[in-house]
Amino acid sequence: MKGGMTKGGATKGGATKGGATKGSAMRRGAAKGGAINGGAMNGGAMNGGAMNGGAMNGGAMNGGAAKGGATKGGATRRATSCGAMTHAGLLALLVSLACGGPETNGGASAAAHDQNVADESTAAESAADESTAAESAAEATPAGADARHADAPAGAEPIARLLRARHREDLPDRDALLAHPEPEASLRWLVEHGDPLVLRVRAASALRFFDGAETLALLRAVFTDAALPGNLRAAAIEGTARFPLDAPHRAELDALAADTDPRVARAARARLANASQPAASAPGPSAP
Amino acid sequence: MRLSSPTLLLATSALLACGGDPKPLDVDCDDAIALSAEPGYERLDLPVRWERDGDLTRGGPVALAVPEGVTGLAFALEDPDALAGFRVAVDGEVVVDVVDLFGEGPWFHFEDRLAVLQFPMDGATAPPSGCVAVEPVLFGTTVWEEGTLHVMSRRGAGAALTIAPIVVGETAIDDATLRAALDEAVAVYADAGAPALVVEEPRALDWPSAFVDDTTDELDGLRASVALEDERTIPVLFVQDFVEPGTFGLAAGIPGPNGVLGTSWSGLVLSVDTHLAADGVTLEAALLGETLAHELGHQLGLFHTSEAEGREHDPLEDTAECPASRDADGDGELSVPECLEEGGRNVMFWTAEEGVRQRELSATQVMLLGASPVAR
Repeated sequence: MKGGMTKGGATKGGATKGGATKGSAMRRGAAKGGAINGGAMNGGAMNGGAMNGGAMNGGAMNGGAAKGGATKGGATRRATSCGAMTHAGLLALLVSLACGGPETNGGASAAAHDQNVADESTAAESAADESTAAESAAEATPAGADARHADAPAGAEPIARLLRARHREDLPDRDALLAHPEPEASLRWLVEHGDPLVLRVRAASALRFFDGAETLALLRAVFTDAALPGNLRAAAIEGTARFPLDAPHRAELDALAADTDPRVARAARARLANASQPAASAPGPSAP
Repeated sequence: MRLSSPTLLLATSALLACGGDPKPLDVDCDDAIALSAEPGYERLDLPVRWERDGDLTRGGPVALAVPEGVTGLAFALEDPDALAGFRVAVDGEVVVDVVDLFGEGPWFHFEDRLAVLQFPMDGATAPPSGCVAVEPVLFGTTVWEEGTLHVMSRRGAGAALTIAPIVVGETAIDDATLRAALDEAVAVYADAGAPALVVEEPRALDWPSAFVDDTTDELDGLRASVALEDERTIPVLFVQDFVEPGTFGLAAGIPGPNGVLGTSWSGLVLSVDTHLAADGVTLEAALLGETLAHELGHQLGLFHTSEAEGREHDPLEDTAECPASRDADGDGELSVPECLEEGGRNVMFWTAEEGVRQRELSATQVMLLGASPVAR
């Protein structure tokens, strides 16, 4: 239950396209967008350069570091948008259960295609865009091209696609990875060949769902290589979650716990702290 | 006991959800605080005096006289100790009850340590006019006797949104690449027909580290440290990275407390290193710009058009929904190619795809961006 809002409202009850709230007294008139979606927004004002400098220059920041100390001390994890939605979703489920079970009248709308956006002009534009997109993809050098490389495992391309989620909490779980051929080998391949870097990073972290010997060897080679980017090394440490910590491995992590890169140091400390936990409790991806 | 436990919160929530909050929301409309009837932006900071009421803490209801023609209205409240939310009544009718904190429509919002309730939220939730009663509510207790209710409003839709790029600490990002990324975000909004994105001159923020710990309150402190000349400007902080690797960027709420600077949720934070090419050196400016455009959409109140599994969608009438049935490869998640004609090109789709430009917004999404109180 990641999201909060649904048009169908299967779990939320409200906020629906066709729900009982529509047309109620809460609706107050003219928020249909027409007047607001004026042409003034489209175009003109954007011309003339993105950087609108000048007036904002000069000492705007009031002692950032010092003021940071006044921050709040609550215990909850930083509520990103999606974090808040997750919490709200859980609450909604409980509310739904407490009141007699979830509504199920949203299924139809979930399956329905929104015809409002499927008009002829949109379709024509989409076709043109698709052509552009295909051209762009053909010219692109990084991720997709690499994932279609001749020696890439069959699952590399679809798994790379899964790793492009905009938010960390939406990264694939083990089941999603297992839906594709050679997931472990594909992830290893992406650790070495993925582009952009975030694919390598997320692939390394996703290897925490697997425990092959080749995987451990690769991850150790990555996180002990100080020449590699810190985020990749930190993710490689995360990726070892299913492996028992033998003495050499622990020694490596002990050393990395004092690494100058805070990402590496934090990952090493976290891995050491979790060393006593069984493999089955390997952590899943965190919410962004 | 300073923070309500999740169990208590859940129990309270479930109880109230079945029958709504029984407490009446009465105010004296003759003494209502009048919002400006002039076109443009206005912000009021109103004192809140907290009083315990069982498992809740309530602030005395505030009466606002909202004139016709308000296009954007938002309430924001921050408390360091408890989750916050709002009850709202219009001309005596409760339209946002405690139950609505959980995402019920049409005027839903989310309780958190910084709660924001914004009108409109979709095409059918225009700001109310008349006598509007607002009661801040905390789920739990607070150590503070008083708080502040921020009220942001705007009459007349805005045609532009202003952001302030801020490079944090020793974050390494060259000026030309940063400007290229900002240009990309500007282009995304322009192509989508959204309000113009106006970018202020990049500046630096003195901060002890280029890395921010998003698992602690360090991120809150970073956001709270930002001061700008104009509160309507949305800070966009560039850090080297989050300590948990692999995060592109973080918005602060859907929407965030736009118009209020210096809170733990004031602004976006974007990672530079998560946008590097495979060589770990070259910054992918276009990717960074796309992330900025997406997270700014969240900050201004836009949800993902479709979530990963295709079972949840935003509440807007005119955004294309990609259903779970489009999952052609059976991995349980919808990719852009599987949803190309059903929202896959939308700026707010849940994931990206190499070679596919996501530069579409629906009319209602555009309307919501322009209706933000901080739009100009």
